[in-house]
Amino acid sequence: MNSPEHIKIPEQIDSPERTTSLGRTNSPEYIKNPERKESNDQITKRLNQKSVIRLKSISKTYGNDNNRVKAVNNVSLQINKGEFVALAGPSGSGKSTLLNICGLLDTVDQGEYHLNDITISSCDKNRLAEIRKKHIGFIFQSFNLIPVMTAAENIEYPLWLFNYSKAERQQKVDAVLEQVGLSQFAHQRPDQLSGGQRQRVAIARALIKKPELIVADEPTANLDTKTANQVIDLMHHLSDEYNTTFVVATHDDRMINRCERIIRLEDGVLI
Amino acid sequence: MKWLKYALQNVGRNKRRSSVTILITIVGTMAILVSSGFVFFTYSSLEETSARRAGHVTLAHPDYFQKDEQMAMEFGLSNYEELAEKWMTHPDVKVTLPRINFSGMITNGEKSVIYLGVGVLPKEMQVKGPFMTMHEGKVLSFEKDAEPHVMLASGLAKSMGASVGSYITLLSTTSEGALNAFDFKVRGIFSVGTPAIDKRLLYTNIESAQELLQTDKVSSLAIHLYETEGTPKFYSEVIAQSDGLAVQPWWDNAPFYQKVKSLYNLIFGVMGVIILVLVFFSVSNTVSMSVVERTREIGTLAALGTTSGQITRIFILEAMVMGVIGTVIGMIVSMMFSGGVVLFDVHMPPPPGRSESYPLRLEMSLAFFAATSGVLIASAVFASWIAARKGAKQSIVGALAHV
Repeated sequence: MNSPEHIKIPEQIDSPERTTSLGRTNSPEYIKNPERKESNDQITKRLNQKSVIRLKSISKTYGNDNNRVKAVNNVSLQINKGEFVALAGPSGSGKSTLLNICGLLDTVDQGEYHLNDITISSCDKNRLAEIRKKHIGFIFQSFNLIPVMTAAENIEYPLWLFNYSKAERQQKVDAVLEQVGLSQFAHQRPDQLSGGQRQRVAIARALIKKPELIVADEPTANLDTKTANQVIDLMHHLSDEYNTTFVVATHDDRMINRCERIIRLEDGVLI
Repeated sequence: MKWLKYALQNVGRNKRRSSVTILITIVGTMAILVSSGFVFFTYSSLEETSARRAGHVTLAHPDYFQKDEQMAMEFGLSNYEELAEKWMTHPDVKVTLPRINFSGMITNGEKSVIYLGVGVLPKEMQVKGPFMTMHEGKVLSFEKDAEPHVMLASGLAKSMGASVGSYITLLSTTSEGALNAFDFKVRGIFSVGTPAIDKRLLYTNIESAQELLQTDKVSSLAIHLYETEGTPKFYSEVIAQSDGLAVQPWWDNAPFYQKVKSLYNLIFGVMGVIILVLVFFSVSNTVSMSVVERTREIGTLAALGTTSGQITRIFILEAMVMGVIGTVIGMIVSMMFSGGVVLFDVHMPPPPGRSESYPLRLEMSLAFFAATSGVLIASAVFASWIAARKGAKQSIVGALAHV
């Protein structure tokens, strides 16, 4: 992969310590994955990419007056196009809340959220749905496939919300089914598929509209190691192919170890 | 099409629950169509009976319907032949029939009772269609020089001990107040189905009646139309050209029809509302259960970019599918039921005050089915909208976390 000419890669970037330091200096929440060293090309790619997610001092509180829990507290964060980012932390650390905010499934109480150039805080429910429809794909821990639909119909569903012709939808579904290796299972219902196959259907559903951002909540938690690795490989492959940004909330080391960047949270704050 | 397929898939998801809802819609549709079929048949039968009895529109002396006559034929119509000729030229008019209503005593020499006589043209028996049941003998004769004859209602004939061929005497007051009596030969015995009327009624030739009453007038001129539905329009035309005569449409002369209609409208209206409420709650229950069971699915659809309006629409479509299936099957079963009633010649028992049963028929109309199914489906849609709206508006995060 050739580096674009306008990006100058610092010499010292090879040093793990300096890399971490560089990350912390430019964006305080940034932690370089120590187990997965970035190549110069990858760093170049990251720095050259435009930001997809920009969070500025966001907070989210749950509960009533008597029992208030600050799930996310004053978090600032930037995630660039094409990045494969893990949100890691123990249960209750706020990673799912942060993921939900990134995926526009939940709103912030304070702070600003910009997705691409859209100021999310000023959007109403229908606008948020429109943005999710166009820009964001979702992968869930329990796959969340629609049980009455076949694999192909599940994958096709996001396209129903656009004005594609039946032939166009069919063409796209066939292509994605082939990419995730499920062509022969197109007409099977979710209950006729294995866990790994279901998650691949879910990935295909997230990817079919070629979103800029895919948020995944514990996508490998319900899978055995072999299947989990296959799913992670598939996600990376598709991320590379489409330059899609992946934000994955996980405490699965198999996934964390394969992410380019890890954002750790504890008690709602970045650490 | 894709949304419809999805709706069908969801309807088939919980087969038992959907089946119960569809079954309730079928039964509701059947109940409405069968009962309304009976009601419409009753209305049209009573309309026809009333219109046949007195004519679709009746012309009479200005005081005929308002005041009691002090003398026989005091409010009679003298220019009836001219009027009959005039209205016969109207394209909607089938026939004009003058008639004389009179009363007096009938006697067989040993016993006398009161009678209610009607003097008619002999053709009235043929052109009006069935309005009586002949038990014995024949209807009035067309022969000009036939001896004076009457048709007696069965109760009156029994009271007089009369049979076909026997003679009775009719006594009445003439138009000048004198008493007059004529002998009449009994030509036929009939029944109109109402025992109280059968004890008093008789028919005779209009000329015989005029001779008995010593008059050249008639009581009224009944105008019969080809189609009963055309009465309101024709009635307006007659009023405009009445020249001061009294004009009465058939419904003003049909108190039984009016009372039955009021009663049935109330009874079957309440029944219709109950059925609508049943369908409403059944669909509401089905959709509410479905919304709860599919909470996570709703969250998933919302996460994928489906708006709450679109999610509500999904559930409404499912209710519509159940409504359409239920009403269409309901219509088919109702039509089969209607056919069965004709096939097996089912009879209704005699109504109160009547002596004869009558064949049950159900009037099925596509327009009424469309209206019924429209109202039932609208009820189902409204119920599903209420149930689904709340589910579609819940928080996505909450819905996705639903177990």
